[in-house]
Formats: sequence, C-alpha cells, structure tokens
Amino acid sequence: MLATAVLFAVLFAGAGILLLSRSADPAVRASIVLTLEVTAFITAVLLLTIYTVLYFYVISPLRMLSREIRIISDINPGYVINVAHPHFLGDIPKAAGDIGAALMKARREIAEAVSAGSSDMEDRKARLDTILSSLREGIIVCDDKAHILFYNPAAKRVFNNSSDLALGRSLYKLCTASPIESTLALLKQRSLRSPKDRDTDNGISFVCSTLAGTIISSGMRLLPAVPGLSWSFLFVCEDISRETDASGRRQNLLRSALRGMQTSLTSLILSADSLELLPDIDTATRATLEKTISADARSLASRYDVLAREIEELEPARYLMNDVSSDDAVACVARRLEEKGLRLTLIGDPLWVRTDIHSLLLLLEFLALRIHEHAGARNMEVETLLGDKRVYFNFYWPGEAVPEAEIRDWKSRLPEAFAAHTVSDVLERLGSEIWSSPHHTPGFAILRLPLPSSTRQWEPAFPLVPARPVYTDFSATEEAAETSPLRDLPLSTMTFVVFDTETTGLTPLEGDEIISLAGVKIIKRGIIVGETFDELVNPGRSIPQSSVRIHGITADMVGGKPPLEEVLGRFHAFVGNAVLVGHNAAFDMRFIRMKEGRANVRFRGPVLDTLELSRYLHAHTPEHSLDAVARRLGVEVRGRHTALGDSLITAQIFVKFLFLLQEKGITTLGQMLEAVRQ
Amino acid sequence: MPRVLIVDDEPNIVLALELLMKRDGYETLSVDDGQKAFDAVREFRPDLMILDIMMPKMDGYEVCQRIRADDQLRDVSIIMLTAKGREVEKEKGMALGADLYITKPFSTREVMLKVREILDRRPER
Repeated sequence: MLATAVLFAVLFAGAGILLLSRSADPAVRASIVLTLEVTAFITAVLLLTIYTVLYFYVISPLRMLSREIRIISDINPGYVINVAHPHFLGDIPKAAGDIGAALMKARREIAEAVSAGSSDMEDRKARLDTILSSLREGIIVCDDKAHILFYNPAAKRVFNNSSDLALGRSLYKLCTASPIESTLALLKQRSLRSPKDRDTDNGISFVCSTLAGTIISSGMRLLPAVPGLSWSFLFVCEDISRETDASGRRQNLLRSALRGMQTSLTSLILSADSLELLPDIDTATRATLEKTISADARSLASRYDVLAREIEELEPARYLMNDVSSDDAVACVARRLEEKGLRLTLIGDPLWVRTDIHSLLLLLEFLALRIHEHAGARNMEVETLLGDKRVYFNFYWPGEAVPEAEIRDWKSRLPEAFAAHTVSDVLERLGSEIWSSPHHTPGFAILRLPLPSSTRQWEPAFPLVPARPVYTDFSATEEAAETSPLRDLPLSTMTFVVFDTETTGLTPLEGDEIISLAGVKIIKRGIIVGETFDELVNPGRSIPQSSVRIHGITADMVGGKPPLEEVLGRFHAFVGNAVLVGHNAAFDMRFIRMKEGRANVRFRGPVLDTLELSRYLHAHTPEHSLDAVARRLGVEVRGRHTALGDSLITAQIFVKFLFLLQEKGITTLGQMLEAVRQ
Repeated sequence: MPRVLIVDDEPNIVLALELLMKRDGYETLSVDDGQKAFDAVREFRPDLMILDIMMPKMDGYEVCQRIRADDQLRDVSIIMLTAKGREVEKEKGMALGADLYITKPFSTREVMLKVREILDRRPER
C-alpha cells in the first residue's frame, strides 16, 4: 500500500514537472502547480496514515514478539509468550510459543538423560574401581610394545611400589623380558593359527621373576582388538613367594607320613610272606614274626590317622607347579650371586621346566655357593639339557667333583632362606636329587639337578623354537658300525655323504615328516661342489607355521613333489657305498629309518655324527650346536636352515675334523669310532 | 654258596629278608648302617648286596659310590632299595653305579627273583 502511494505521488510529481517544462503559458503553469501541491498533500496524509497503522499493528507487535522469543531462547524456555496488544500477526506468536515449549521439553529430556547417564557412569566407575582395588591379582594392560596402558593397586603391591610401574613405561623395566616375550609370541602364533578363537583364548600361565627378585605367578592373554588401535595384552600377576612356602610345608609333612607307611608296609609284607613260605620255622622266630606283623599294622593305622587329618585341610596347591624358563631362573639367581662376586652363566638354549620356581631359585643359588666353597670356582656355567622326561640343570666348573659324603652334608643343611626346610626337603618336593661326577673333560666336574620337563617345550612358539633334541641314549655313530667292512680303510681316501633334512616338526613318532633332503659328497677330504643331492619332499600332511618360519618351505612348494619313499630311493643311489655323516644325525635318521621299509632301501653303513665328533675333539666346551661348531672352526655360515645349506656347513666342519683327527693319530674309521665311543 | 649282604636300618625288614635268602640257599650277613656296610664288603666279600638308600651315618648313595671307586671291591653287584614315586632316586642310584633297583614297598617275589637273576648272571668266583 505504501509502495503504491509513493508510486502515485512520484508519477504525479513527474508528470507535473514534465508538463511544467513544456508549457509556456503562465495560466496553465499556475494551475499545474496547484494541482501538484494538492496531490503532494494528499499523498503525505495517506502515507502517514498507512505508516501509523503498520506501526501499531505489525511493527510494534513484531518487536514485542522478538523480545519474547529471546526470553525463551536465552533465559527461560518455559516462558509463555504474550503479545499484549492487538496485532495483525495471526498465529505467529502462538507458533513461537509452541516452539519454546518444544524446546523446553527437549532440553529437559536431554538434561534428564545426561544426568541419568552420568550417575550410571559414576556408579560403574566406582564399582570397577572397587573390583580392581580389591583384586589380589595385579592387573596390567600393555600395548604391543609392552608399554603400560593401565594398572591396578594390586599391581603396585606386587611390584613393591616401584616407580617403574607407571603409565607409558615399559613392562620390561619390571619383569624379565624373555618369558613375557616368548609367551606373547606364543599367543600371537595361536591367534594367527585360529583367528576365530582369538577372543576365547584363555591365555597362558607361567611364573616369572620381577627385576627386584620377587617370584610372581603370571597369566597373559591378548585383548580383543579395538578398531583403529594397535593390539594390546593383559598381564595378570601375583606374588606367590609365601604360598609356595606354605604349600611346601604341607607336602613335606605328607611325604614323611608316606615314608613311614612305606617302611611298615614293606616289613608287613615280608613277615607275612615269611610265615607262609617257611611253615617249619622254630617257634621263637614265628613269635617274632607275628609280633612284627601286629606292630606294623598298628603303626600303619596311626599313620593313616595323620594322613586322613591332613587331607581334610589340604587345599589345592595351585601355585606349586608352574612353567618356568631356565634362562629366567638362571638370570634371576645370577643377579643375586653377582652381589657375592660370583658369576653364573647359562649356556646353550633355554628350556621350560615345570616346577616350584621359588624353591628352584633358592636351590640353584645354594648349589652355586656350595660349589664355590668346594672348588673355589668364581665362574660357573649352567647348561640345561633335555632328557627323556626331565630337564637337567648341569653345573660345570674346573676342579674336583663333589663326593657323595659332601652332597649328603649339603642336603642336611637348613639355609636361612629355606624357611625351616632342609635342602633335602626341597629336593624331595621338586621330585629331584643332586649328584656330582667328574666331567669327561679332564680337570672339569659336573653337578646334575634333574627337574620335570614342561609340555611348553613342544608348543610351537617362534622365535623360541626348541633346538633339535640331542638323543644321548641312541648313538648314531655306533649304529651298524661293528659290522662295517670299512673299519680299516683310511679316512683320508674315503667317500662320505654329508646330509641334512628339514622336517615338519621334531617328533616322527607323532607324525612329523621330512620335507627336504639334501646331501653333499666328500671324496679324499675334498667337497665335490658339482655333485649334490637336493630334493623337496611331499610330507603328505600339513606343514605347521612354526616350522615354516624356520625353513621357509610351504605347502605350495611341496604340493607336486614326490613322497619320501620315492626320494629315499634316489638318495640311496646317490649315497652308494659312501659313509653317511650328519650333525645330530640320530635326529634325521629317526625319520629316515621309519620310511626305509616302504622305500625298500636300507642304509646299512655306519652313520657318523659331527656333534659327537665335536664333543670328542672339543670336550672343553659344552657348546656343540651347528652354529657354535661352525663359529669355532671359522666355517662361514650361509644358507642356514635349508637342507643343502646345512649339509654344506656340516661338510666343511667334517673336513676340518678329519684333519684334526689325523693330528691325534686317528686315521681309520675303526679308530675314529673307538675314540668317539670313549 | 653265594653271599648276600643286607644293608638296612629297619630290623624287621632285615630279619625277613635274611630268612628268605637263607631259604634260597644264600649265605647272608646283615648290617644297619652305611659305614658298617662298607667294612662288611671288605671282610665278608659278598657277591651281591641289597642296599637301602636312607640310612644313618653313611647313606646308600655314598656306600655305592665308594665301593665303585675301590678297585678291590667294585665287583660286587648292588641292588638299591629306592622309594616308590621317587623316579629320580633310581636315576641317581644307577648313575652312582647300582646294577638294579627295587622300589619300597616291594613284593617278596620280586626281590627273590631279582637276586637270583643277578647272581645267575655273575661269573663263578
């Protein structure tokens, strides 16, 4: 309306001015001016009226509404809009009021939800804190680099409030790294093998020591992956020094009761049998036997009572036996001995034992100290060797063996740290014994401490794959050598085939198979480079990932290859009349012998072992692994863990041995076999 | 007549073993500790000894080790009496020179059989 009025006024004014400029007649001009003035006045009145109406009914109510809306938005969403004035705004104020009400409702809901949520969170956090604080077990969460992401108060206690237990620090500042690393490797291996089971894997329990020397029982498992974050693992730990003491006391009690029963029982059986077998003995002897029988029966009854009482109180000895890595145990003891100026070194590969680690550590330390007293040795070596069922901790030192009388004295001692147990008690609890003998190297002695082996030895845990077992009970060198017609031939002119295998695992009796077989010829002490045997074998079974990591041979590579029976036939032809040589050859021969029948061949000649030769020629050291021998003799190690590569290394070693044997005056096969046997 | 030396500190066991050995035609001597055992081997010159490990003064291990170290005495056959469930005792016993072990408690038949077995294998003196 306003715009129309203005338009009219402008048009009128414009037309008047146009007419004014064109017309010359004064009368006409006067009348035009008058008309223009009237028109301008009317327009002005009209405009004023329109503005007034707009102001009162639209502009002013709009301003009011805007202030009211601001109240809603800024101050109070519950404010009821009231435009207390007639207006032309229709439903707008009401609609604005509705928006306000809706806003208020929404804000209230959000506020309620937020407050409900946060009180729930508070509750949960408090509950979680209570649980984590009341746990006896220390809990530590670490990232893939073993940096600490979380820990609970119990962990503080386990690590004796160490300042190294802090977020972002490395777990390895608290515990010996190797058992944790190898366990992690094992867990990762498992999760790779079966990703489905990753979240249900119950983890692995073992015992390790803190750098401060406390024994802790630990469990580890991988945590379910969080998208966008690297994987992490849970480390649960508990100080078990005290529990192992209590449990050990009880076991000793039981043992002594058992020993008592054993004597009575033996005597009872003997006396009863004597009465039966000797019907015509004199009355006096008969009376003695009868008296013995009733005394034994009474003694058994009272021992029974003791046992029955004890069994009531018996709790499961859950801490007693744990998997312990020998390097961890020895490192822990070595640290304690260092303070006393003694050096204890672990040589060879570490092995897992299943034992009460607390007692084991006390015992190792005690033995090292006694050996030092006995022989004055400040440097001692400990080697762990794998036997049939046991792992042997062997101490080596230069000097005399410990006679049994002295061992007996050691066993009767009550060291302070043993908490009122004799050394003998502790040995019994571990199912062990100690004995000493001269080492086969003159001037050296050895003390043996056998302990039960752990099944972890055989779990495929790269990079800690156990070394091939050395079968000391089965001498490859001796096998068939007696009947060999080659005994008197000079070694310097003989032909040898040095061979090696790669296998799917370590135990042929449990289905492990050869997957690669190689041989190298030696004629007149020279390696024949152009004449080698090197074949892959289809094992007819899967190849465990753990072994693939060693030899790099995958299922794809052997898919189209012949089975061992076929390859053995060709290998037999390749060997001909040559004498077989291998490093730890007994291991390889176990696999080969199992297939000889089906391959319809038989390796009749002697099989020489560079490991045994090394023991004979370098008896001063216990290190006879292929790597160690190669290093000692300056043989360059190339192509390790391929059958051909290892054969070539072994061949070079063997040639050097042939010269060393000659220096010792050993020139025939027979002499060599005789020497090695001794 | 083959000679058997019985070394055990439990008189009831010694008595019964002696009776049984005699019945089987062996000449026997019994002693109750390790030191006496060592002396008895020297004087009595047994073909075989039954040697308990757990004894006062000198235990079975030490007796065994000392006998095997002595050129005059080392020929005697040694059966060691070890505790059942203590595998490692057998191993130590054999390592120190025992010929055989019998676990306690043992059956009478087993002892007699093993004694005969060893004595039959020995060359006649």
